[in-house]
Amino acid sequence: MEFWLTQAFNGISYGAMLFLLGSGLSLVFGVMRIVNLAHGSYFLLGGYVGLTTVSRTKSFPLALLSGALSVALIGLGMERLFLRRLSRQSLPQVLMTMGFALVFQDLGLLVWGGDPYTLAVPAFLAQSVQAGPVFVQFYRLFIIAVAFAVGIVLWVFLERTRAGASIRATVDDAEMAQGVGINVPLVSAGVFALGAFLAALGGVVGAGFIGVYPGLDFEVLPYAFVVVIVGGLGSLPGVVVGSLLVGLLDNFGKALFPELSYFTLFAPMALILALKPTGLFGKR
Amino acid sequence: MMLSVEDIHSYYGDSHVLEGVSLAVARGEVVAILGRNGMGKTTLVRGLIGFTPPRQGRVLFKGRDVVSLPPFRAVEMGMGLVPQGRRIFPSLSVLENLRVAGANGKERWNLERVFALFPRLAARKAHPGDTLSGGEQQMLAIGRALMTNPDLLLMDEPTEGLAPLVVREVAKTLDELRREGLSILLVEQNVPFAAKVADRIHVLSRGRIVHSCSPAELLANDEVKSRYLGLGS
Repeated sequence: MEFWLTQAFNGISYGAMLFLLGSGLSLVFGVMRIVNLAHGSYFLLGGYVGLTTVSRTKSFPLALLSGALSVALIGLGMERLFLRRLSRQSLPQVLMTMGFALVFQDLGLLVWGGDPYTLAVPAFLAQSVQAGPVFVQFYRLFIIAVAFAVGIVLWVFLERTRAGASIRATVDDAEMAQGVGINVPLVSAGVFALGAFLAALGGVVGAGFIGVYPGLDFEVLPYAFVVVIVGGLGSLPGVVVGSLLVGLLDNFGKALFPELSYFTLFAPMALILALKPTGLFGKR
Repeated sequence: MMLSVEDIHSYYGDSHVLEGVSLAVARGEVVAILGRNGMGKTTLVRGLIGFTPPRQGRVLFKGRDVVSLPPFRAVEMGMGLVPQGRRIFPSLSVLENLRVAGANGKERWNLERVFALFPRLAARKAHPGDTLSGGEQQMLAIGRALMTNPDLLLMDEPTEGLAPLVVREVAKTLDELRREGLSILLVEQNVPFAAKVADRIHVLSRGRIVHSCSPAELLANDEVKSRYLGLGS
């Protein structure tokens, strides 16, 4: 019993981090149909910027903010200056994001070196308590709370504001969205920056948890894709369910069959895609 | 002149779809383009709004060439689009479909006026856009275009797939819009409908305008009707 509860808690908190990573990827794909292979790099860079901020200022909230905002600016630049020129050409776009991912990888190595780091989290979050049979780390609760708050804010923004409705209209039919006067290039730039913001926020949060090190970018990227593909591209409820599912599967897989951990993650994905090619919540 | 199209040529890949089309719509005028399927009608509309910009020729809207503008700029300038197949946003409610199209500021059209024009939309405003009937979706598509406060309305086969009773309702709506002073470019296959609402008619065949006349002349011209519009004499 203790094993199951502990692993479930760990799985949910890992899923919460994956939600931050996957929600941005899903939004960007839904609006722009861009398969962004640099999305894991945003996570990595966010973690590094957060790390530097904490070591300079000792402020964790500032680290969250600076990591997410600086990477959002990088994403905005990438979209406006480079990806925009390749609008709707999927292969050149994928190759360009791959190129950016490699550049960011080397940039990370150049600036932060090859050592692994863990971001120092505030003391009150570093505690843990024994709750019944389960050993609860506060930091994992914090991750769940952040993901929950971000999920609510995203939902309200997408479902209850006019800007959110414009984004959904663009996901439905980007050409017709222009035909009713929606400034689709502006929507795209905003969504791309938001996607980078969310991934980097996940990276700062993750840096206090799984750490930040060279290679992390390409380690988390497949997880982001599994989350988004299982949930259905461009669907927020899909990302919620996908990230929880992947977090739980990954944790139980690693705990029960460590030598088969990739199998326990990717076999259910293959199964879901075979039964429902659009993912659990996808429309197309 | 509201719209003047000067010798436009459009292509899909290598296929030459519009081979030099010229036409004009004056302020307050309703002009219909008639033709069978595959003659370039939808390509013409897509060229004017900017979805498939023509490779040659000019599209002057209120005197300004809009060929190189992104579609949303043409809409901002006052070109409204009621597309073929309605293209209602399925994830948006009826209300949201109208709201995302709402122009800021100069509100000639607003939700109240659209709902007054189409009371059935008001009753269904919380429904998702894709749960409406064909006729309701057409009204929503027209209402959505009106929300952009257009001076020129491009309508691509608004009667497609509608029951005769609903077609009559659409015709009534067009009459009201014309009385408002709106200019309309209508693309249709439905000859009686177009003849009823339009001031002037052009017949499009294989990417060229092959005949231009008044509605009365068209109805009397059996040769044009059978040769270009597939109507038996």
